[in-house]
Amino acid sequence: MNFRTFSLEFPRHARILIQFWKTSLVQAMEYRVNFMLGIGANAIDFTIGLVQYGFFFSVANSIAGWQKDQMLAFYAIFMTIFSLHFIVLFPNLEAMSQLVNSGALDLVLTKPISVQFLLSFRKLSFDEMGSFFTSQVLLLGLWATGRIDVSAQNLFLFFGALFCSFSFVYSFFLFLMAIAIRIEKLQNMAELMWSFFTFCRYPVDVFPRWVRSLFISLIPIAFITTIPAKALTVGVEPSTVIWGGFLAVVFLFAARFFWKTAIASYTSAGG
Amino acid sequence: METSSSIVTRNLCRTFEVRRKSEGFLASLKGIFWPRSNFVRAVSGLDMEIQTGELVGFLGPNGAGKTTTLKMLSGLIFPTSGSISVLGFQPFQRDYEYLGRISLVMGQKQNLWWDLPPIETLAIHREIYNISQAEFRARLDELVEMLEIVDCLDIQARKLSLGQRMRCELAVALLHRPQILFLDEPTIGLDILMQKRVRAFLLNYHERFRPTILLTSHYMEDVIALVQRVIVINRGLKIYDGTLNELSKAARLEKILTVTFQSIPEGFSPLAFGKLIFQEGPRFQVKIPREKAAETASNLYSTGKVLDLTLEEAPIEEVLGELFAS
Ligand SMILES: Nc1ncnc2c1ncn2[C@@H]1O[C@H](COP(=O)(O)OP(=O)(O)OP(=O)(O)O)[C@@H](O)[C@H]1O
Ligand SMILES: [Mg+2]
Repeated sequence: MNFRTFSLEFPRHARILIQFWKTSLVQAMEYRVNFMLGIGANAIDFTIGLVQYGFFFSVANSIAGWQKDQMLAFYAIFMTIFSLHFIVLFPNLEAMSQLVNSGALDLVLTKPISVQFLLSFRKLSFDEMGSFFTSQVLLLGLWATGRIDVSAQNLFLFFGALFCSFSFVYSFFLFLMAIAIRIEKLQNMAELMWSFFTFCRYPVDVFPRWVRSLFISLIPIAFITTIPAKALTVGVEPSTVIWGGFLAVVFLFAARFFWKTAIASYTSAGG
Repeated sequence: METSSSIVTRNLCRTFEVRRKSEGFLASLKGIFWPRSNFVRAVSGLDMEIQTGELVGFLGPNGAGKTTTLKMLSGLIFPTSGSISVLGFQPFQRDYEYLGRISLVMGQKQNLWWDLPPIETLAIHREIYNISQAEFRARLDELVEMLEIVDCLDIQARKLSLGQRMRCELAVALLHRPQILFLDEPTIGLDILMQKRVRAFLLNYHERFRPTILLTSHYMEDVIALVQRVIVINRGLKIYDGTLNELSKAARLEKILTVTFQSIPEGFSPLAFGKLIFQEGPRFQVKIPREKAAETASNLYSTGKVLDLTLEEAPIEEVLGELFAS
């Protein structure tokens, strides 16, 4: 797709997505009490995680070289990315197997839309917004009390690192979506995505040295949470973020390629 | 434009690779490293040409390759070989402009997003096809009236009855006024009354908007009521392409002669003409070879004892059955 068609198609796709999201919201609001409870419970989950850190730091000064404030920033960033994944990607990945098995994918493929775009983002899970918003509050609090350093350079590197983070998570997601097309019987793709995140739950510094270098150089685990958090707290080398950006683009292209081959080899059973 | 071809396929083929599953642990282990495949030829060498605005029936027994062909025409799967041109596009390129002008309805699959009420699906389709709000309202009102679906619009799709769902799917599929409509068994599973309604709707819709329609169905009533031209395929091969009337001639089937006598002529034996279907007093029904039909009728009249005599084509089901078996 060249730039001209992109600039023509983007507004239409955005409108389609908003229409889907509106519908999701209306549906969620039908059970308003449930909706509020879900968000509340999710925020409480977030707080419990926070309290655990509090206990930990009452007996130790640092985890793998991370001070308390830095660790809080790490937690906020981890939860931001983790909850965004739960809000946008997870419900769509969960729906994918069913979409393939029921044959509804056929009818999506005959519509004049980017199937990848639509199937990646069409569903939203509102419950997880609880921890998303609470982590934003935590980040703002850390910033307001001067516990994180938001110099222009750090902020710039932070957003660069965040772009890498999103790209890696999305690539992995798209890779699993493509597998769901190829292997029709495969369920629990979404669980796989979940376990992927267990590696991102703690700074990569908790791992042995060689694992750490692997997570920075080839398997970009470090870029998902550790590097963005470092950018906001102790700072990172620009070269690290540039390397991450390069890797991110490679991963996006690879995942996109894998997705396209899966669609091209789709045989659409039944009917 | 009026008489140009909308759909042209040349030597269209599609083969599916089917992995053979092995029984037992060792055998399935072997299967992982040395997979054994069978190749199923779903469509082989299909040539067809359909004019703009035509309504064509696409017939054939189970597994003939009808759905596979429709999937290739709508860009869902790519052909193994051969060429397709629909409205000048190659479907598998999935050009948005092409997809914006067609619709595929599959009676066996759901189109409506399962967890949404049809009205929401319609609103989403309005955005997908870039239809203005005013145009949307006008078209929706029209379709809702023609399909009688006022009461179904707000109900979650999974809670609709089959007949309601099918009519809603048609509304969704037609919202953007497709120039080409692929209908794969749109009446499957519907009761007789509902089949009739869907049929009447399709006829009415085609009359009004003149889209090119390719329709498959196993119900002969659909075929007789809707189409003039049929394309018949069997095991992926085209075996007939022409009008419905000519079909029985092509099958070279016997004609059906029904004769009622005032009194049965002396020495009359129905077996002398052909196969007896039934006898009821002075009324006989026999199958006779097509080329003997006229002669036999005039011979019978010449006895002077005929009260009533009719010559008919065999019913279309039988004709098709004969074609499929050959
Ligand atoms: N995705 C697929 N993978 C493997 N084989 C397939 C696939 N789709 C169709 N086939 C095979 O191709 C042949 C044609 O199938 P198709 O669905 O086109 O038949 P059909 O004419 O639509 O039959 P029906 O009237 O039963 O719907 C069948 O032998 C079928 O088993
Ligand atoms: Mg079929």
